[in-house]
Amino acid sequence: MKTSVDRKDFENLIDDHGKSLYSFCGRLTGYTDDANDLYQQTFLRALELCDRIDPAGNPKAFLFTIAASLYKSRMRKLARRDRIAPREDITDENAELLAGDTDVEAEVLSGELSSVMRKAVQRLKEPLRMTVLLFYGNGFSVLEIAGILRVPQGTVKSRLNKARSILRKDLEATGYETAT
Amino acid sequence: MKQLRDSDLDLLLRSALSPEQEVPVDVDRKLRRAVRTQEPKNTHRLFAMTIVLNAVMTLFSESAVFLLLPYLPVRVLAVFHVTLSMTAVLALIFLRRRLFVFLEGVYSK
Repeated sequence: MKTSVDRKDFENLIDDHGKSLYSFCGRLTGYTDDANDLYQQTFLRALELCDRIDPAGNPKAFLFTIAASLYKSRMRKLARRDRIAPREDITDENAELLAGDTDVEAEVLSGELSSVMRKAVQRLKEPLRMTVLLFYGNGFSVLEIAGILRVPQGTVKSRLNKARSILRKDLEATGYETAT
Repeated sequence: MKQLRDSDLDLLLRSALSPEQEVPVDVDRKLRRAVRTQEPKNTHRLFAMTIVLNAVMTLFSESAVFLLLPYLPVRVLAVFHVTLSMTAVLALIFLRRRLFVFLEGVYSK
């Protein structure tokens, strides 16, 4: 029985999970260059650890674990630099990165509200944003997210609740009335 | 004011965040080239070798210090140094993979 992935299997991993990982990196970082770097670093780190990837397990969660871990350590390094020289706000090019390839139907259905929602998600603090992106953007379960972020399941649930409440307030501020 | 039901928030979040972004062609090509050419690094073996070699050299040099220098504080420090190095080796032996998981924050479940 095969217990790890070889070079060819690894390229299949890129085919299978590349797009979703790239979208995650884009929405997480909010910057094209950072997203490209994080995406490539994630796969190269995974290549170094390919003896630990179980093809029968959950390689997608494994890749997202690496991405989350790399992003957190990168943020720690950048925190000091950003205090000295803050980076530019999200430009049109970066806004596209947040949006993803929306089809016409989805654009008509959700339209402006989706755009408002994506921007609101981008304003969330890092742990909340990461949890929301994994849960809503990539369809991971609470259990899987707990494994990826290395936090208890209860923490994932409370982060989701907190994020929902912040997003609801954001929507109210932009003119949408939320009803329970 | 536009109405948005509480139960619709989940649906809205899913529809706003689920569309996937295409990987830029140059980024994808660069990554695939790197994957084909890069040899997997065995960083764990290097890390383990460094710890063991450090312990061996520490043991050797601090033994010499202990035997050649008749000063008590220096001898005490030498013993501490050897103990510390040996603790690292013991941690490596007993924890093995868990140590790397702890250091890197990556697991493969």
